[in-house]
Amino acid sequence: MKKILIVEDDQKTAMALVIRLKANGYNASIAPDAIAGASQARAIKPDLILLDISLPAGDGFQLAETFLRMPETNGTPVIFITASKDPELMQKVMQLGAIGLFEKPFDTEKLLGSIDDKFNRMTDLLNARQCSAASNQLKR
Amino acid sequence: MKSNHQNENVTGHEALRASEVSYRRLFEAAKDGILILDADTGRINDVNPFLFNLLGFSRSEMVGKTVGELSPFKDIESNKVMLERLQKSGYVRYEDLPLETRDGRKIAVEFVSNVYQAGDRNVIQCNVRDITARKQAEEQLKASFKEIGELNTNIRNFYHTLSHELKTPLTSAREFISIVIDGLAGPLNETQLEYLGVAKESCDQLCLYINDLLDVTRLETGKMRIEFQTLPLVALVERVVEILAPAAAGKGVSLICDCQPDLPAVPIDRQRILQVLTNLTTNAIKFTPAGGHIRLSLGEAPADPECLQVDVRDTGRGIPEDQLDMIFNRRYQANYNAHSVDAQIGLGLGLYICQELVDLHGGRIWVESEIGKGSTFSFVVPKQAMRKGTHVLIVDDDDGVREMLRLTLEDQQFEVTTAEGGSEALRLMEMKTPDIVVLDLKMAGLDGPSTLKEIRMNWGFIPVIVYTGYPDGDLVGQAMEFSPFTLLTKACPPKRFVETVRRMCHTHETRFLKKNGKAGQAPAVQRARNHFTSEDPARHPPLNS
Repeated sequence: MKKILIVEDDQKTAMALVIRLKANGYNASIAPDAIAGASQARAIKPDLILLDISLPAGDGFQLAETFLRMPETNGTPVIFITASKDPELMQKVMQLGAIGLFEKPFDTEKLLGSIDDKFNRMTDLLNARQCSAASNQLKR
Repeated sequence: MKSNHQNENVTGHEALRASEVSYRRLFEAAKDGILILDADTGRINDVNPFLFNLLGFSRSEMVGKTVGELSPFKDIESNKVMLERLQKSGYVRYEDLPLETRDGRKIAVEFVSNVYQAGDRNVIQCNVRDITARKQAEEQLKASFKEIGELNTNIRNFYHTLSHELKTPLTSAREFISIVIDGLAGPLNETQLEYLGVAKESCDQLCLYINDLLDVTRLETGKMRIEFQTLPLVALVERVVEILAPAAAGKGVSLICDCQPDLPAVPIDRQRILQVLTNLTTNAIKFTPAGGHIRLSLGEAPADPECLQVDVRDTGRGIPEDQLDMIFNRRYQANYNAHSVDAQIGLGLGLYICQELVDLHGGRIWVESEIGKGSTFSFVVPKQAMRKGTHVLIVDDDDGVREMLRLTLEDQQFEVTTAEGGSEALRLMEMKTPDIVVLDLKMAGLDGPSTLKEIRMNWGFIPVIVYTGYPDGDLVGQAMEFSPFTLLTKACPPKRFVETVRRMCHTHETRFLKKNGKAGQAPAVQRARNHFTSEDPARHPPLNS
């Protein structure tokens, strides 16, 4: 089961996300602030992180940078969630290598869709790699 | 011969006397201080009532003394230098000299002196103007600038908080409703499903209203950003028709799209134009009864070949004629809605936002309507907008003003350079010609009019905004010699400032870029004399334009 870490200070929103993600077959856990976000990420090594931008104890951008630096999370896909929709956010988010930005109140279907897509693509990629490795072996 | 000579003498004497009398009258009644010094001794020969009253002395207390012996001038270090220079060269000019009157009141004066010959002696005439009130006004202006700056920051912070605080609980409310609707909390009966559907719709509605409120806040603080991309407008019109077709069909209204082929792509903000189109079309659906028709058409603007025009035509109930002018007005909308038969009409900010967004694109929006027949909302957007990164040079000796204008313009994607004064501005312009210059008039060193003169001589018709706290002042008159320019009065709201800059860039480009091939290389200066526009029409009707 894929593990998703939700870093979100609004407990209610986080709870709603957990219910949704669990219903879609994911394992989800909540970190209510930036510090908890970093330590939980290190402990559980999530497959994907949902990250709110405004957080207590350091904002989402800083935390995303931390994730990039930590070996446990370097390369983990991040989706940002935000209440404000300034166009400059998008740029910043892209620079941090995030795979998405969702504005509150978000469209749950789209959010789940992009998470599913990400994992499907990763699975596809893995399958493709295995296939090509297998065919290479066959050629030899 | 002799008597003639005598007559001439008498007439000469009379004329001299008459001239002396009128001089004396002027001297006594002048509303500026006048001080006559003996150039050799530096002693005061005469002083007019305005000055001795201003300083709190009597005439006899001043006459015969040197200026340095008088208390208002005595203790001030800079004044000592001034007095030395005055006695040495006879000429000084101080734009702002602080003095203290005999009763301890602090005043500021403008002090100008000149030497001239009176009979066989040299005298120095000093003109002293009390600028205390003007200085106070300036200080007040500076304070209000600071206040506006702070207010802006407050509003900005407020809207961030608003956005966060309102949307966060709304998110969880909507999410939990969805979770229940989707059966994740157990089975529901039909009534429960229906009611929760209503609750979810209300959440969506609330979200739209919050976004409208935020947009209005952004617009009114000049923080609305338009991200221009060159796009085919037709794709957006078709997209809106596609999105709203189900809503129209649900109401039994036909929604069709009619676009001219082969139209050029235009510089627009995709999201914002979609917002305008969605708003106009949603309104049309709302006010058109079943069996009616809505047509979205796109083509070259009949009245302006430089623009594309979108029309949203409905066969709804129409808008009363006396309300047509006000329909885009934010305050009016609330009223109109209060008397409207439609209870569910929203905040009524939609059309106001549409108007502002179209404005920010350099376009225009309007409505034509006939009661019982329907309404047509139309808007145009220019085919060519200003280049990206338009370079604005701000010339102002006030740090606060410079900084505030820089922030405001940079927020709107302008490239901004600032200069503290005229000389620095000209130096910067030589290195890189800006697209537009914002010029203060009252500056130490090379003042506004002199700077403008240099600009006109070397850079032709480059667009200039004169930004002054004294739109009625002498300096504006002097600057007129080197028009054209647009006059903006301090402190102009950020939104209007940005709009003016944007409009001027656009006008300049369409006027000169096309005709001359290159912006900024305009023809001779003289032709433009006395042509200026004022952004404050009530106070400053365009002179002879």
